[in-house]
Amino acid sequence: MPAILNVDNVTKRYRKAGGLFSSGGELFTAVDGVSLSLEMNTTLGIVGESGSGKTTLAKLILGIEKPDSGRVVLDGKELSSLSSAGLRKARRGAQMVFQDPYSSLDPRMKVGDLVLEPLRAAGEKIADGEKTAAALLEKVGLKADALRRYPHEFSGGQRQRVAIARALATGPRLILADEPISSLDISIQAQIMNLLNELKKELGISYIFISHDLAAVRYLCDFVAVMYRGCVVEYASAAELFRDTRHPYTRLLLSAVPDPDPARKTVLEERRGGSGAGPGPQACVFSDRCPRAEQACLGGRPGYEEITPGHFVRCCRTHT
Amino acid sequence: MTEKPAPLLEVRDLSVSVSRDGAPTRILRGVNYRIYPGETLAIVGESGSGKTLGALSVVRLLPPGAKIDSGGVLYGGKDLASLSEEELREVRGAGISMVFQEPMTSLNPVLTIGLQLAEPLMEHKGLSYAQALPACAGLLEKVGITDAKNRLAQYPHNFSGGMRQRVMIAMALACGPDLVIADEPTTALDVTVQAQILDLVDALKKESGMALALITHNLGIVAQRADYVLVFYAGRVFERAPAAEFFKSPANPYSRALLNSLPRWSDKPGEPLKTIEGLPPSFDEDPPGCPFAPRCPEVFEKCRGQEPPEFRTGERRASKCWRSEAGFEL
Ligand SMILES: Nc1ncnc2c1ncn2[C@@H]1O[C@H](COP(=O)(O)OP(=O)(O)OP(=O)(O)O)[C@@H](O)[C@H]1O
Ligand SMILES: Nc1ncnc2c1ncn2[C@@H]1O[C@H](COP(=O)(O)OP(=O)(O)OP(=O)(O)O)[C@@H](O)[C@H]1O
Ligand SMILES: [Mg+2]
Ligand SMILES: [Mg+2]
Repeated sequence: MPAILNVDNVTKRYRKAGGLFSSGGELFTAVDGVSLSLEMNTTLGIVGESGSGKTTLAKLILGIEKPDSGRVVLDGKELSSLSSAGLRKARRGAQMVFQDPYSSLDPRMKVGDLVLEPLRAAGEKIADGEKTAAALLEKVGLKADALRRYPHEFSGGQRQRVAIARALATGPRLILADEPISSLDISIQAQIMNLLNELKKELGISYIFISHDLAAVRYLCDFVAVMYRGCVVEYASAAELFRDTRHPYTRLLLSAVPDPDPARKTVLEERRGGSGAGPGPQACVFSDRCPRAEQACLGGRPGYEEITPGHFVRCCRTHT
Repeated sequence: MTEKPAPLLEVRDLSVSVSRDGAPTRILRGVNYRIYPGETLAIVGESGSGKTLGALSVVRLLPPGAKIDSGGVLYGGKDLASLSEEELREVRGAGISMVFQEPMTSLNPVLTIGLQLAEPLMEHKGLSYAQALPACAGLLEKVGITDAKNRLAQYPHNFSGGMRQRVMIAMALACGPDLVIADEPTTALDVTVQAQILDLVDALKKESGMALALITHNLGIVAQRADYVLVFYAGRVFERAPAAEFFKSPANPYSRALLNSLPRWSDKPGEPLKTIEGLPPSFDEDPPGCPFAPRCPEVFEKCRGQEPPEFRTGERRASKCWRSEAGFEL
């Protein structure tokens, strides 16, 4: 099947002492040589440490941020080769649901207009705006009376649903959803996950689903990438990743999921404190916290190894 | 017999409305609960049911247009409504602190993280900025943000979503409050950082008797960390119960439906998840009967005609459902 997305060895650095107008200063690598590809009509989950570069990676994929090196090919087009008009067009086919819904919704616009804005921005003629907007809102479980209200009149979870409805408006081929369900009650979470699956079946949409909710990722995703300090440390099909977890960080993550049954106390896998500044540039990115780290892990960064077909791990100790 | 300690916070029959299209619309209706020192109270329930408004009423930071219609909040036995704005500021800084639901809107985009973290320490502990900075670095490290010295000089947009949440948490803990009200504070945190933060809070609870009111949709956290649970639906508390009992035998049909929509590790990918059919009532209309009746799988005649009161079903347990009425038999 053709790929909708190819991310090839992409790196993004930011300045450490990041004053608004300052330049100079040490650099910090937020995304560190990430390669991924996504087939049409599949869902890729991205999980991992807070601050590991998931949102930055999503922004690179949409051309909102430019990589320092590497390339992104979205639906057959290399982003860096596009004019700003071309980029706008490419973005129409790929929509993002941002992590912080409130700051991405213009407070002066009514919800009805917010939902249709991506269509208008793409120069689309909308015959019956009210009906179109109401239908989009209904999909995410909001009543039509929401149309004439402003974002501040909504609860956190309701705003999040407005953001999702907006992303659906242009009928995109790829949706990047950054933590889209954690602020919703569980019944609506289930409803949104069912909706995403239906749209995938009906319209052939692909998704990148960034989430800290591992049960949701397991349920929704075909493939999963696990990020730690800017790197993808493990990648496999969802079924494989949860059945045969290999990277020590992924294991730690799985052990920390709080169990919704109070009788089963969550016991974290052993972990170490971490040294504050983090491991040096030569060492494995997880070596300062890894319970299995040994001398070899400090001497060289492990490469990406395919341990079984389609299952990739970056760990020196995969075989021991 | 040991005497029951006095509650730290008591919310009594609280009703709150907001202004919609110029007309007041009642959102919260007769909310009652107590929080005791050292306790973790989890507030769960429907999105849009009034959990945030309820929390904001406690600290008297309601948005414009929203107002408390009746009932009130006692903190350490004192009615918060009787305090001056200055006394309230004191309470908010050092007594009850709040972690807001959306960090990006409550952090100031043009001030460094260091300045914003230092502010409560300067205001309530009388420290200078220079004196507060080491404490700020310590706070950042406690919430798992490494390289704290460099980080203090950065701005909110330089932080990831989860890091911003952690800054909000650090700010709330800075002055050693009696009660932290945290509105979905860990939605952007990976589960290991989340565990680290909840461990930190648990330690503070043990050390200083701090209490935590935690608004969350994550029932895993509730099961693992909470002592007591409140379930909100349509502006009402549908169920109140000690956490262990809540999971073992939820009394209210809405609670049961909620627990049923949880994705379980056993769910087959691709097979539809269970949801609660239908939509919650809009607050503008106010039909008679139980607001959950149109969606309730256990509905019967009486439910449609008359709203049930809160029935006491045990020690610190109550449920708003005709099926919880004493003597009710199928
Ligand atoms: N504009 C920026 N300037 C400086 N540093 C930045 C900027 N944006 C992100 N970073 C840094 O890059 C790293 C990765 O951030 P990113 O937002 O991608 O993380 P994330 O994986 O999405 O985390 P979370 O799960 O907490 O949302 C963080 O250390 C963050 O502080
Ligand atoms: N400033 C406001 N003006 C008008 N209506 C409001 C305002 N704030 C909240 N509401 C309405 O009041 C209801 C309760 O909102 P609240 O934010 O308390 O919900 P919540 O339980 O915190 O939901 P969530 O889990 O989605 O955050 C919602 O239906 C919302 O639409
Ligand atoms: Mg993020
Ligand atoms: Mg809320």
